[in-house]
Amino acid sequence: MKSNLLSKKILLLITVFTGLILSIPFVVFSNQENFSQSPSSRFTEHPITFIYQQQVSTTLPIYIKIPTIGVDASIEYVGLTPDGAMDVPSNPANVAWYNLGPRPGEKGSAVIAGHYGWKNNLPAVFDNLYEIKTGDKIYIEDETGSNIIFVVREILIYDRNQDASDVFESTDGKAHLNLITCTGNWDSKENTRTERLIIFADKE
Amino acid sequence: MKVPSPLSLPAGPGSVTYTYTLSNIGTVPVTNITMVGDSCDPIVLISGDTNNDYRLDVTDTWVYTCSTILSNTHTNIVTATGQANSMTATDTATATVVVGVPVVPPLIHVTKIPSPLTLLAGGGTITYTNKVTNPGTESLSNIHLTDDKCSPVKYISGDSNNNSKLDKTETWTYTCQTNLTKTTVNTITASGEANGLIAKDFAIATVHVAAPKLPATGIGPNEKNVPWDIVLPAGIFTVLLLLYITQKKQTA
Repeated sequence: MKSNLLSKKILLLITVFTGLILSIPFVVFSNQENFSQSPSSRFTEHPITFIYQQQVSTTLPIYIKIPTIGVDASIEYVGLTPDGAMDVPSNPANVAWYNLGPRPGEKGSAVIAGHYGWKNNLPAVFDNLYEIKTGDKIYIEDETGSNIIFVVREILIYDRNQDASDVFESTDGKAHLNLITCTGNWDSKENTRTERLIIFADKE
Repeated sequence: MKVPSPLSLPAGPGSVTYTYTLSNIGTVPVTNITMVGDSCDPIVLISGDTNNDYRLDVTDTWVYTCSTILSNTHTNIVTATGQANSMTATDTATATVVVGVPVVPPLIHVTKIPSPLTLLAGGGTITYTNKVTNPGTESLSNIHLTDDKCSPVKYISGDSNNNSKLDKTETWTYTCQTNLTKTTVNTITASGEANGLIAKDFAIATVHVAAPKLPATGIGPNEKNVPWDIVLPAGIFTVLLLLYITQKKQTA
């Protein structure tokens, strides 16, 4: 009798854990879905907002959208690491805005960074940033739902230790947005890639 | 600093010689010095480059002169520029010569020194120290200082006889503190009055805020984390399964 009761308890526990294990693929799948959506499917949701609500705004940025390379991501706010580098987003699906510099749309160079590649072969937000082209548009949606549009002007590759003054600063009195991600070979000694892909964009 | 001689031509049109005194109030030598006047040419270097290295060293005081004929009361403006550490330093000086009226115009001179001169990435607090002097002959009243990117500009000291006038022998000190997050150029404007005329001078200072290093936004091509979200439940499941099988065998 006692042994029967124990067996039933064990069976119940097995059922619970089986359920947990079965739910894992669904969780993983739903995370990956954020990356694999086609750009068009993501932009049909609020087409009117997306197209017509562009205006000059210096409110906090919330989302970044780059239709030509399928980027549609939330924006985290970061500062500096202890060694004086711009910090990076904690979630590979998000980008990070350098909040010690101008906001996107303000005069100066706003800077946004995103990961290239992630652990366990999970995709990262700027995996396809190398496909962006001059003339492509970058949309920053702010907290009011308005979009600020930037047009890609120049695409450059910097050494990871190169002076980044012209990425973070500009003196022409205009609003710029610069995107950064890693590129180049993996340097296992320094635990980082050797170069950075920089996308320079100007406010439309 | 610029001082015309004479300060006035009460009898009417005549010759004026401007004397420009250029010094380096920073910490590094300045190269590529240029002096551009708006209404007097040529501006000639008379003395100061004692070691003939064409650099305005921190111990140097370079003296320039320029002569011209004035027929009306005129304010002359000269702009000095130089370069150090890939940055440009600029200063502007003005001086008025009164023609045809027996009035001596006032002169005022201001300098601005930021501390520190540079900030690390992210920026920090900066204190500007502004010093005002009177290179003219008349004491100045209604001294005002305004900074285009820092306020309040606070008077600290200098009015030794407490007469509220900037006398020839006095140096008045003002400070202003602010927080900078990016490279900033700002201008202090000093003004003072005497004989019904207003004298003005400007000083420009640049504080360089270093740009951040580029972020590390990637991971190794084969880098993997232990997927504890899968390994842990699977391990527990296996242990329980083994327990269950053992129990079943015992009951059978």
